[in-house]
Amino acid sequence: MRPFVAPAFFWQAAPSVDTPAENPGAAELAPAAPLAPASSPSSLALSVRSDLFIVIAAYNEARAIANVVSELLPHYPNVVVVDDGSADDTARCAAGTGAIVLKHMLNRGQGAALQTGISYALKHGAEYVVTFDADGQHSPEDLPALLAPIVAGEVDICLGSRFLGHSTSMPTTRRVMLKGAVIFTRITSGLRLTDAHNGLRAFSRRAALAIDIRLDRMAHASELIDQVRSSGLPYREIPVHIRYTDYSLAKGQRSTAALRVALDYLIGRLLR
Amino acid sequence: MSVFQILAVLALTMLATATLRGAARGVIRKRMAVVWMLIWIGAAGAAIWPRGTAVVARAVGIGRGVDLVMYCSVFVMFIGFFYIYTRFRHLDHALTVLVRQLAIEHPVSRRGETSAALPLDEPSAALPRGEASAPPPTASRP
Repeated sequence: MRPFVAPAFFWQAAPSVDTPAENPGAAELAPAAPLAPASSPSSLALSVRSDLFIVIAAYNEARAIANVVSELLPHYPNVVVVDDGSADDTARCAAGTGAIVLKHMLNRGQGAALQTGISYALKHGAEYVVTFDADGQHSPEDLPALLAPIVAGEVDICLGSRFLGHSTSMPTTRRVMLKGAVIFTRITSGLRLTDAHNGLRAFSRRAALAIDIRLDRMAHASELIDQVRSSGLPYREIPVHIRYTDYSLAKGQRSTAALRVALDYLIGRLLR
Repeated sequence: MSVFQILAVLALTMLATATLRGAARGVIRKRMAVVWMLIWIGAAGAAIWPRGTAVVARAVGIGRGVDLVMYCSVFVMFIGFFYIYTRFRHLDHALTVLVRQLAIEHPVSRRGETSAALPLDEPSAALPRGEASAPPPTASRP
């Protein structure tokens, strides 16, 4: 007789402040084929879900993309990397890991690449879509907590917030810029978020269908928040950890770009 | 008529002819052709009868005819910029939709494949091999 092993539900791995003790989605979450042992110290999402897609927009990320994807793939088989017309070997590096790789023939911007990945995921039956950054600043360990409220049917959208969690070594200029973005988003969209420009987000299918990113470049982050509000779908902020490395900081937005992004967003809103 | 007037009227006549021809061929939309024609006719009127601009300028509360022409030109230019900018944004979005469609329909690699199925460096990367390298169809005659 086989000994009973309690299944490791993925919200148990990294409980968030919002995780309910009794989860109505429990039966649905029973792992079909656990990849990692329940005693795994990191305890990532332990269930393989074929209806969960992780979308990564990558532009000239050949150095980082393979690591990022291979951290995710053992636990999440549907990783969609959208190479946004990179000049380097991003697509080839990503393809070598076994991820689904789409390639924009021309560089269209991060917003456009994310929408491509989301559209692909929806076309292939995604029930849950996660957006994840390509530069290695997000931790796969945050995904269980990010997804739990959606899988449980409590909300449709979960937005990662680095200010609810704790991020390692965030430079002051970055903190000021991000806080500025939060205030900007509060004024333009009316949503009281703690972190407006975090690339780690999770959507239910319903929410992903309601999202239509039209601002191709960096202003898509504010546009997305607008659409979260106008969709009327319930959302929640979940604390996530950001790993700031020299690489991710170099790849990130410069403080001087903030004005251009804000202008792009405002014009896009006027002309929409 | 001064030399300037003759040259201006000649140039504007050519522009008007080009506009009408463009509208007839469908290169310029009919509505835009009407707007352009009004601009050319207005400009020709101002060139032939400069005092007219002064009369209109006084009527609308601007001191000199030259100022009126200046304001009108700047105004028309701003409208032109705005029009071109919105057209550009539409075109930009259409390009994104096209690039997206190609990317979705022709993935570089699917789930579990560990090698790129397509040559990535050529512009034909997003096309399936068959289409990219197929020889052009040759017409066969009986």
